[in-house]
Amino acid sequence: MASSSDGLPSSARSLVRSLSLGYRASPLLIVVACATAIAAAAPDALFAVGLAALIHAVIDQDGGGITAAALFLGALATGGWLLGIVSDRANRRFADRAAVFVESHVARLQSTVSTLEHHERAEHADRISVLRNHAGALSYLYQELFGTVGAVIRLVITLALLMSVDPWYGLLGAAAVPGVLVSGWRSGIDKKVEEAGAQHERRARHLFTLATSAAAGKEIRVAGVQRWLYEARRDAWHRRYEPLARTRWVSTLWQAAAQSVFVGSFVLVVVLAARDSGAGAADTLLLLTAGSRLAQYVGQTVSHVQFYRTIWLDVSRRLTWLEDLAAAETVGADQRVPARLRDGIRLENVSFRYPGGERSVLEDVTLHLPAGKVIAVVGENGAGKTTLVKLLCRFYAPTSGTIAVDGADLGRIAPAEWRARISGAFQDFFKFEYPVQQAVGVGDLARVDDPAAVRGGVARAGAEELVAGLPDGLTTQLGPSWENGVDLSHGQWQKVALARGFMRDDPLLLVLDEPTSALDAEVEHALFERYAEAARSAADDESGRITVLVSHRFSTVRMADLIVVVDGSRVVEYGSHAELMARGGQYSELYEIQASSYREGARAVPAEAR
Amino acid sequence: MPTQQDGDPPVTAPATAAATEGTEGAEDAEGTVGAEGAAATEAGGAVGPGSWIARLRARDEWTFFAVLPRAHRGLAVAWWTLIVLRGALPALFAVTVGLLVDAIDDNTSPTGPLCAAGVVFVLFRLLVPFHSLVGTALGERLSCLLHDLLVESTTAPDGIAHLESRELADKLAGARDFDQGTVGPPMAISVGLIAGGLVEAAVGIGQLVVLAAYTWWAPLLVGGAWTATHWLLRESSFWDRNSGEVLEAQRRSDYTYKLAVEAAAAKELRIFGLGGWVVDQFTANRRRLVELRWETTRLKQRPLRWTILLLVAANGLVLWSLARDAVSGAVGTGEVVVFAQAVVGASAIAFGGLNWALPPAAGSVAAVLALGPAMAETGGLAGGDRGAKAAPGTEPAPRPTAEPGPTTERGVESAVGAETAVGVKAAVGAEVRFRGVGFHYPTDSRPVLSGLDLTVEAGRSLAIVGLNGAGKTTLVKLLCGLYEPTHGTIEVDGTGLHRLDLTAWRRRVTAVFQDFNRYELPLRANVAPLGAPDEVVGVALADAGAADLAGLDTVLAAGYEGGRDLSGGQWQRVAVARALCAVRQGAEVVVLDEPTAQLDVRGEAEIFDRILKATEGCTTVLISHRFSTVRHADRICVLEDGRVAELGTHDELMAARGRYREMFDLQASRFDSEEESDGIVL
Repeated sequence: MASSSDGLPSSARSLVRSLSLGYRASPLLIVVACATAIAAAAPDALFAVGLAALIHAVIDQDGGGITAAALFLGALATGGWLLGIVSDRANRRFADRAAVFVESHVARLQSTVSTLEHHERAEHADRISVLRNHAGALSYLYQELFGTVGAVIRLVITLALLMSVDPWYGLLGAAAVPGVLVSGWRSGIDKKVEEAGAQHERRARHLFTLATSAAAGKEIRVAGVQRWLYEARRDAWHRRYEPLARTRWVSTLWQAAAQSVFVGSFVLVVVLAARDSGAGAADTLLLLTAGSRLAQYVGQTVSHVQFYRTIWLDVSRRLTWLEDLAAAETVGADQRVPARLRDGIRLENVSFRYPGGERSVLEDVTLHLPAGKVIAVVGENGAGKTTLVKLLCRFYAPTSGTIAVDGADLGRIAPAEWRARISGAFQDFFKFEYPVQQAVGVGDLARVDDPAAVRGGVARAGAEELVAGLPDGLTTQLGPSWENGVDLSHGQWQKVALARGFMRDDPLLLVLDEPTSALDAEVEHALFERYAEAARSAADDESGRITVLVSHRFSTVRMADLIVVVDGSRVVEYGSHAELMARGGQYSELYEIQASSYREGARAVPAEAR
Repeated sequence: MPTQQDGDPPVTAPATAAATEGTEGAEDAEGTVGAEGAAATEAGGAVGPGSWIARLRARDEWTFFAVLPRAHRGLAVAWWTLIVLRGALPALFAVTVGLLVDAIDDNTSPTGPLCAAGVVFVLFRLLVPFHSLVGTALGERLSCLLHDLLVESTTAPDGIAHLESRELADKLAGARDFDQGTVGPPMAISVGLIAGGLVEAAVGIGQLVVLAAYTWWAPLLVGGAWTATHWLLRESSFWDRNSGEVLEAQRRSDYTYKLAVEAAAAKELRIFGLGGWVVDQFTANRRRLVELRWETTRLKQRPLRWTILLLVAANGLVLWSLARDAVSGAVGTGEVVVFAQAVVGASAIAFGGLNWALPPAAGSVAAVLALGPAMAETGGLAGGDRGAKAAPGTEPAPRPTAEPGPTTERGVESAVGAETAVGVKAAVGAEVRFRGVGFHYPTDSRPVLSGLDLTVEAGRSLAIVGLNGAGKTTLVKLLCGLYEPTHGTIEVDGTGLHRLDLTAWRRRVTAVFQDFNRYELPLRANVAPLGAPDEVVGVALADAGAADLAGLDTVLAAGYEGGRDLSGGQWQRVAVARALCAVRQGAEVVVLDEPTAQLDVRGEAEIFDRILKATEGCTTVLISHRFSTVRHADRICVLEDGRVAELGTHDELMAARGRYREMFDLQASRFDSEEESDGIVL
């Protein structure tokens, strides 16, 4: 992952990639959009010709010429408008298509990158948030590109017209160069400032989301923080905006200065031409009209340059980076997932530090998770339990050491292949607001529409009653904000998550990361009794499934075959409930604390717990 | 309006803006009604002069331009000034060019017209970058204002029903488009595009004025033809984004996009390999959205043909006439040039960029403004004298709680109000009594609570247990005044909750919800959002067992400078600290909804003693599944099927051998085994 954490990829490669993306989005439309954009450019530029012809004819008192020139101008006006409208349509149509394509592409990349690093690491999160904001803008890119082609064509035609009067006028083109250069330079600086403000923007969005969400709304009202939230969001917004606004002012002054170079030289040329008086009225007119248009086209080109320098280049490079990140994961995946586990999973001297983090979350952990066993992981908050689970799911690779699945190095197994054989339920589960059938069914995507399979998962999670109580059974839409959607309590949502985790029939690894923290006593009891039974029978069958259970409930933990006690990023105890109780170490101490609170007369906790 | 919820707000600038917004929102709503009324009258045959103005005012575009000065007055003025200037300059330029040509033609000194042309030209070019700067800045400010308005709209209502309503969620998603840019470009870009369109139109009008110098009918003919393009192609620019199909597609694409890219679902998305499945749904909905727009706004052939015919005829006629006059010498050389330019330049007023840029932006603004009243209606609570809050735009003055009232109930209320106004009494806590309370959610007719009678004694703690879905959390929501009971009443020290000043009541309550808020802000702000001395924050953290969690200035989220994320258990301690801090600042009713679900063994065992000690004298309501913690409460209530099944102390309930005993034994038995010779006496 080293390459991904460093700089962004080179510009040239990125630009080519983003262009080919547009072609892939819609090959026919991109051609039509380009052709009409070019066609629409001509009438505008030819306007000066018509005007010059008109004045020539007037001066020569050529009646037919005057009429012809006048009608030519009329045709240019109508035709220019029509071509403009058509080209606009074609470009919009294409931009729409491209937008859908690009956004889908970005979403697909983000959701398939196998690690969580891009979510949890500041630098990457910033990088992606910019990409996300501009994914739509990337689709305007093609429109801009054809616009540039049009502007350049106009520029060339206009310059040619000017040079037809006097070749020296061609030098006006050179006077436009500073504008283009300044534009490129300043927009780079603007972009940097924008990026520096990304975290403030993220915070503003976060606070906005809180303010508008129902879940957060409860506390916001009870705590009376409405106004505070309003001000905090504004504050974050201003922190992003103020420096940006200042930089933009400076950039604009620079641009105005660069523009004056061009405008100044143009006025100078006109004055010289008029004083020269060798030029007739027609030529002076042509010079003026064409020249003023030239200024306009130069202005357009400058703004296009700005767009490339900022959005296009930047988004393209981010996109390429993300594509590389997603692609890098299948590189070097030369080992296969065993069809069944015989030995189990072995961690050898595994250490882990979050990218960019200071301290190790896990240090030198060597552990054997035997096939067919239920292994409980206990430890205090922040001891590294969840990290251990993340490593097993291959959301991260260990910083050092190896994890081996029946001898196959997990780092060399394609993540998707490994994931197809694991399943799990988490404390911070996601509330899939779909009909129950899908909300549970996605746990085994191949059978997402299979009611029998879903009922199986629901039964294993002890959620039959919950489903039966819903107005439309499995087809009930979850989430109150959807049509006929039903809201569930937190505990009920957790059951849905658990059912999802139980959808797969033959996972090699089942991870249960505090999956019942919000469930009530009876359900938990019934659930684990049933689960213990199922796990035992699974041990007998072919797969050799390993269950890893993270829990604070020792009543549940003690049922496990093996218990791992994690403390201060190390494994401190390992063994069965009986062994660990006999040992009288940390485990037995923690167990006692919890057990004693159920004993009659237990009013306060033991002194050593303080 | 949020300003009314603040008991004692200093009248700050945003507060004033909020009040103004309320007034305008109301006017807008009336405007719409007025327009509909006017339309009806028109159908009946009578058209009053007021209807025209009302209809104009009801238009989204009107709303859009009206809101600009509120985004930033100075920028809005600069923006309009630049539009007018940039619109007028090309006409001036054409005139100076005409003068110049005449001067050269007549062999007089061209210096005067040349200088004029030079100045106009220089101005014309240099205004462009500044206008673009102003447009972007104004767009950003407008975007900020709209966000502010949305935050106000969503947080202002006393209840939360509006946040759980599907219809309003649709509207909110639609209104947020100025930010998301799925339908139109984001606001910062939109405002620039609209400026471009307006400049074009102004340029066109300027040219028509110039053309009037040739003959009176020429601008009418040419201007009429170009204006007609708007009418002929009107169907191609209008798209009703508020149709059900569009909103549905938009919401589904929003939901699936977030699902795919945000961290919340990241783990399950990967474990179950759902990336492709979700993105395919996003693509389908997103595509449906653009197809819907394309279908309704495509160029229709017939109107287009008429348009072209009209344009060719009008332009041809004027130019032919101009040519004839030029040949006959009725119009001078310079004039011909100026007029010909004017004819061509008039095309700027035609159907084009503005028709694309303005409607989405205006629609967004109008949608945002309409949301406030709609949310106030759904989320507002009906009860008692709080009905006055439904009227928007009243002064954001502190509510006079001790105002003399005609009825006897008001007398009671003002007494309560006076108590709170003084602040913390030597905290005795309040007595909360549920009398025959029944409740069902607005979206769901199944009752969650029915005939619930329960008293939470002042200054004592009450634990509520029950199966998932028994109505525990709903009970808490009612207690906090987030919903009102559909039947029965909740009384605080004998006064109906619906008669109390809600803000004052909530200041006496603090709550740790199951899904408590995690602010991506420094620890200090997470513990005391409304501010508290560092010592108080420190003590609250220590009481919650989170004394050395992080520095007070550490941002509690990865992804910020010096920020770090906390584990679930650590977050829970922060949430508890937040409640304890509120207690130190005067809250006397404490609600704890599963406050230890994510804590470790040691933490769970110790935190209750800590909490109970820190909240001594407060009325405490505790919801928990863990009977080991529940038994610490003074009294325990078993909730079943929306009513109280058992109520008593731990010992009483154990002796009663009912549901409580059953559930307690179940949990305790898991620890009961042969290894513990001391055994558990059941």
